[in-house]
Amino acid sequence: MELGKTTTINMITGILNIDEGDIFIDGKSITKNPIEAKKNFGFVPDTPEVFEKLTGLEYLNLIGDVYEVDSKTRLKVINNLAKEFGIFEDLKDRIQTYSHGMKQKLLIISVLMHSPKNWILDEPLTGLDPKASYLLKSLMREHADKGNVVLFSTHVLDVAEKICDKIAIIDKGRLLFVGTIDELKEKSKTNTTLEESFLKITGDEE
Amino acid sequence: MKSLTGVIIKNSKRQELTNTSKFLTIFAFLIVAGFLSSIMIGFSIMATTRLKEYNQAYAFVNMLFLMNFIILFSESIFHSLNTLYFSKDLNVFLRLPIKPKDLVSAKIKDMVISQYEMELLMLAIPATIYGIIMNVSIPFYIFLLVVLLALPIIPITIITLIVSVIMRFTNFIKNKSKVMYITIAIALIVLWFIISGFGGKSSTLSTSSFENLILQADGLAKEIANRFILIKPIMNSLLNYNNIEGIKNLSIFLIESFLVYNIGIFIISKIYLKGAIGTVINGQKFRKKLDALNEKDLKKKNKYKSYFLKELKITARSPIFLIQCIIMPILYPIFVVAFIIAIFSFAQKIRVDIVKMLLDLIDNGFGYTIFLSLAQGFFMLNFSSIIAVSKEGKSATLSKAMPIGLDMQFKLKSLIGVCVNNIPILIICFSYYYLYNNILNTILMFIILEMLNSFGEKWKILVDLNNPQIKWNTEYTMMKQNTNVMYVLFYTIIVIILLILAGRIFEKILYTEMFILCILLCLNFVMNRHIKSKEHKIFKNLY
Repeated sequence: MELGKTTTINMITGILNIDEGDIFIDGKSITKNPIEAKKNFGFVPDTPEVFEKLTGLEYLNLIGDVYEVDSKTRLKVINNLAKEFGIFEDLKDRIQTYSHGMKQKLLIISVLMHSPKNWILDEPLTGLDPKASYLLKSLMREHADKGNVVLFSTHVLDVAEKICDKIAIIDKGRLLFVGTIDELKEKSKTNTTLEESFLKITGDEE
Repeated sequence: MKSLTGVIIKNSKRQELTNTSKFLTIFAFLIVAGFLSSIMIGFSIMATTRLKEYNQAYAFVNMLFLMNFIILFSESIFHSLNTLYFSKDLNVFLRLPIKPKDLVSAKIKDMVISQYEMELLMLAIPATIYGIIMNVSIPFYIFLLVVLLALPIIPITIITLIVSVIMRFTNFIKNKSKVMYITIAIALIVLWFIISGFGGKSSTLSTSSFENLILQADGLAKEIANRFILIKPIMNSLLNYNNIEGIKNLSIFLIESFLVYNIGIFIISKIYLKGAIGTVINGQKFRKKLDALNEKDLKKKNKYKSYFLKELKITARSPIFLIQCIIMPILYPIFVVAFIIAIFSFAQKIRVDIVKMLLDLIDNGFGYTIFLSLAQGFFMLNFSSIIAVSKEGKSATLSKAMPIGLDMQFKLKSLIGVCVNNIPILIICFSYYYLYNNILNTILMFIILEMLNSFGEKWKILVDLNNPQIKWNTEYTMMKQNTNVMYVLFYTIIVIILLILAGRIFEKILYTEMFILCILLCLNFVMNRHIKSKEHKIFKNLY
């Protein structure tokens, strides 16, 4: 179902042009000052389409060069995360030989490598194995706890309920709600799960 | 079986185009098809009329068939590799209870049918012109139709058989890409043997024997037929369309095609599924294991250099991109210039000094623009910029989230095309200097061609960005079905017409040079400004 999550994220990241208004990332406009705005976030798209003819290592080096990450930091991040995610040994293979989950992990490592303040992830848990999924959720929580921003989209409401400080509900391109879980429950007049609150809110709107 | 063939054909032809794109594509197609047909018609009239004077008109038809047979063989290598082994529909078909023979047969039919478009332009039109000039009777056209329908069967089946045998080794080598490169290399070697080895005679033609051939009616045509026995029945059937010899040769050709098709399909179906399964499953098992990393592996590079290297790697690591974007644009001009030199030296050998005649005739603005047009023709054969964005598939959108200016990415994407085009530029400039010995005009020609090159490559990227073909299944289908290529042909036609017009109007070389130089300076300035100021608009359709 087309809800508008990916469209919103694509506009935030500069992939889609904005018809009206503007988007600011840490005070930098994505339309007027795109390069500076893009330096302030790391992005994982919904479909892990990475430059397939490059090897995993070449892709990470490309991202490192584009974001001007020094070799020491690259070494540290790749050594830690690629091993944790279980793809270290595969980094010399072309990305075209990677599975969906491996591509997803590679994209996540590339985002974390230049340690941006803002992480933007579109359905980041899709295709990840339980261990990698747990690791990513922990990293996201840890990053947010440090005072940074993690913006991610998901269909899995249990995940959102467990790790999000604030949630936004989009349905058919319209923003129906922004706030904390408690505020959502209050608004939807339910006191059970996020799933029920979501159904209530979207159902009311229809 | 019929429906399977239908599904495969529809799947290979389906494209997602907006109404505007459809209209523009049809418009560009009509212009380009009209232009190319007129060139073919003009060329056919000229060649047939000239050869008719020497009683050698049929040699023209023979040469056409020979040329197309070679093209069919070489194209079939990529076509069969992509249709039988790298097509994403394999994942679906392999799960279905389809007999291997039916699947192979349907895929080969798809390949055969897709060749008919090219045959229409390259063979049907010129052969019909030949027929009209030579005032042949109806049976010639019936023979021609039958030959054209059956022509792609032998090359496609033979090459598919070779490819299937080699691809069978994917199970042992376990590296899909490596096997593909090996297959292309071996198939090209086999192709070379087919073209040269099938020759009934391999001796070179001496001046006296050439003169003897010219004196016989259709002597040249018979000589060509004798040298290439594989297509001898086709050549002889059309030459003798009005007697029993023609029917005999046509029957031989049809029996040959029938046998090759059926025996080929039988053998291919026996080895295909094992090879295909090998490609789908084992082809991905080969791994280069990384044991440890050090800072040297992760050395920091300039971001623009890194981005350009990414472009280069994506182009060079896909055989079809490598051939269409780097190898062919370099080899074509070398072959064409070598061919022209060979014709000139042959003309000198038979005491016709074409070089002097031509040089005197075109030592003016018009002649100068012919050199420029030739270079523009070579630029057209370079596909790197017209697929600069599309070649990355859906990952092309990722570039938009990178903190590198879109205008800079645009320029970096045009670099491969610009660099590769320098080979034809150098060849043309060198040839001009060699023929006319004028250093100033040569330097100006070099500058003009560099500007034409830079503008043209950027224009190609604009076309690609306007209608990016990023939702492809295989690189080959993207290249083959890319309707943007039509705009390159269209652009080339317009540029050549304008160049020739400028040469005709100004007559003197210096005036022609100055006029073209000024126009190109303005165009490049406007183009660069447009890229800089409208970068978001230009990249709008890439998402």
